[in-house]
Amino acid sequence: MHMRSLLLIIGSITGRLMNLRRSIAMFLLAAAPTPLIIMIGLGRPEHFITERYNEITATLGIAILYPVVALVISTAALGEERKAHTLPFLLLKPVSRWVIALGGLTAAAVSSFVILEAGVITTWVTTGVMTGDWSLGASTTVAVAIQSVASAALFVPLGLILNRATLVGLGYLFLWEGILAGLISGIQASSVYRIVLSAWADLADMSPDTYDGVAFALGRVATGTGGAVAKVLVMALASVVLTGMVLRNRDLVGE
Amino acid sequence: MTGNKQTVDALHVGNATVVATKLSKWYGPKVAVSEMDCSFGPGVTGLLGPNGAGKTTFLRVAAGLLAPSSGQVTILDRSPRKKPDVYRDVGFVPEDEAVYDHMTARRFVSWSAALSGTGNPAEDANRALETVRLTKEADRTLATYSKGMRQRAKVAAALVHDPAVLLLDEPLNGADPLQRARLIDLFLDLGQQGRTIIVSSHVLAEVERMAGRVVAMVDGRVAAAGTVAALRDAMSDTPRLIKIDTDRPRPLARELLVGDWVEAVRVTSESIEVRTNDALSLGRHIAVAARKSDARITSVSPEDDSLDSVFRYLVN
Repeated sequence: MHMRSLLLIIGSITGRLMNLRRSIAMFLLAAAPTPLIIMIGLGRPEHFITERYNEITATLGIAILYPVVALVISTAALGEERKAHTLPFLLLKPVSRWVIALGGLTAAAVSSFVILEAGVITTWVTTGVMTGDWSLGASTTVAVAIQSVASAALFVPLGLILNRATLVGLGYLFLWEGILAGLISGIQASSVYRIVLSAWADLADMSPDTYDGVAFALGRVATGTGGAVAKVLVMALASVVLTGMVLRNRDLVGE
Repeated sequence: MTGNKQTVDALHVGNATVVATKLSKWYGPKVAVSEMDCSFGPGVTGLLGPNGAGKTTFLRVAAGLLAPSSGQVTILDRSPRKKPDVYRDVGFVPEDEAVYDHMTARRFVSWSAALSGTGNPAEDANRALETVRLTKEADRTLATYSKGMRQRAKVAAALVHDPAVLLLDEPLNGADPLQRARLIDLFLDLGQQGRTIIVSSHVLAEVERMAGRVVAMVDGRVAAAGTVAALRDAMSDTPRLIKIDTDRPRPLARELLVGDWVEAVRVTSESIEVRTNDALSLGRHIAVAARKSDARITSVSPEDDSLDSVFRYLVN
């Protein structure tokens, strides 16, 4: 019964999250590196294009585009249900609040991953055609998978609690991830950007120069896919507990 | 009309399924529901009150969507916020027009059935859609539905798992007159089957038609509870308007004015309207007055024995 309910909840939330308009808008954002690669790489040697792909992925994709796309989708997962007044249809069912929380998180992560990966594949295929190297996108695929889960863990409960969760999330990305985690080495281990980047850097094939840049951005965070996966799984677990508590204890409809 | 068979007092019924105990709900300084002590049992109960009376808040607290500020509500002896299992036996139609626009009605109702753990969601959804007469339009997305059709889809989703308790917040909103009549018949039928139906509505005539018992709320408090007739009788000190059809209205009016229980009389060509503060005494005196005035009385009927008049009295 729990599994059946979970799948039904994931299906309904995913269906709403991946409506055509949002999917196209978010895909265009996720695929934004593609025209850059084409413009920069036309007529250039293959190794040059490969390095530009790595740089754009690390500095634009993983740092800005992928987190923003995952933020927008994750805050909408349960937050949109609350704002649209459809939450009662979900809540007034004989289903554990933890199952609803897990359903919301999974739907957000799956929707984010599908849309982000569509953008990644577009850039991947474009770069593959230009360079003949078809291995480039694999590490980015792992990175967006980790990004999707991490963002869902952070922003699904935020969307449920706050009306302006997307705005608050953007503030978080800019202040915490963009500025504070760069200045204060002690908080770098909690930076989602660095967690995602550490997994990507672990798997990507890049030149020493590019690696130096990535290592500088990582700061005290070591590269490693296993560590990144473990961290986001802990975040996801904590998120399900938090979201479940919110669903149990807070007033989620107005007066 | 259906009624609760065992009534303990005006506020409580013997076979209660929904019980509010000293229930209060406030938002900061604003009190939405105050010290509500009331129970509901099988049959249709109308929850009545002007905007801001606390009807929707009460239904949301009862459904577990809002936490009580103090006191509690139980449904079938369980608190919905603590025991989601109770939702197997509860159906809720929210006041909001919102539905899942991306779903078809069939998908929405079968999804509700599946999440509620019914045996055969597809079949149960077909039955519920048939009940609200949405079968023909069931494969259209809800985004294309009119307000009334959305209401019916929500009712179908609330009914699909065959709940013992139905909480309906303005369920007739947006429905056309024919659909309203059908939904009222449906609620009456469900009430007669022994389900607890709590319906909030501001359409007084409809509440009067479907509800055997009325709980009137004003400013977050229960102002009165009971059958419409019982409420009216309880207000014996309230002037009532009685219409008497007769062939000799003026002589009859003269005779009636003798009694001090008559406050005012209005005479028309074939009837008189008597405003009285003691309907029982007036009733006893009508026959005497008719005999004295040689008037033939063809009918005597209360003009204001409607829920509307009861409600206006309570609010004022």
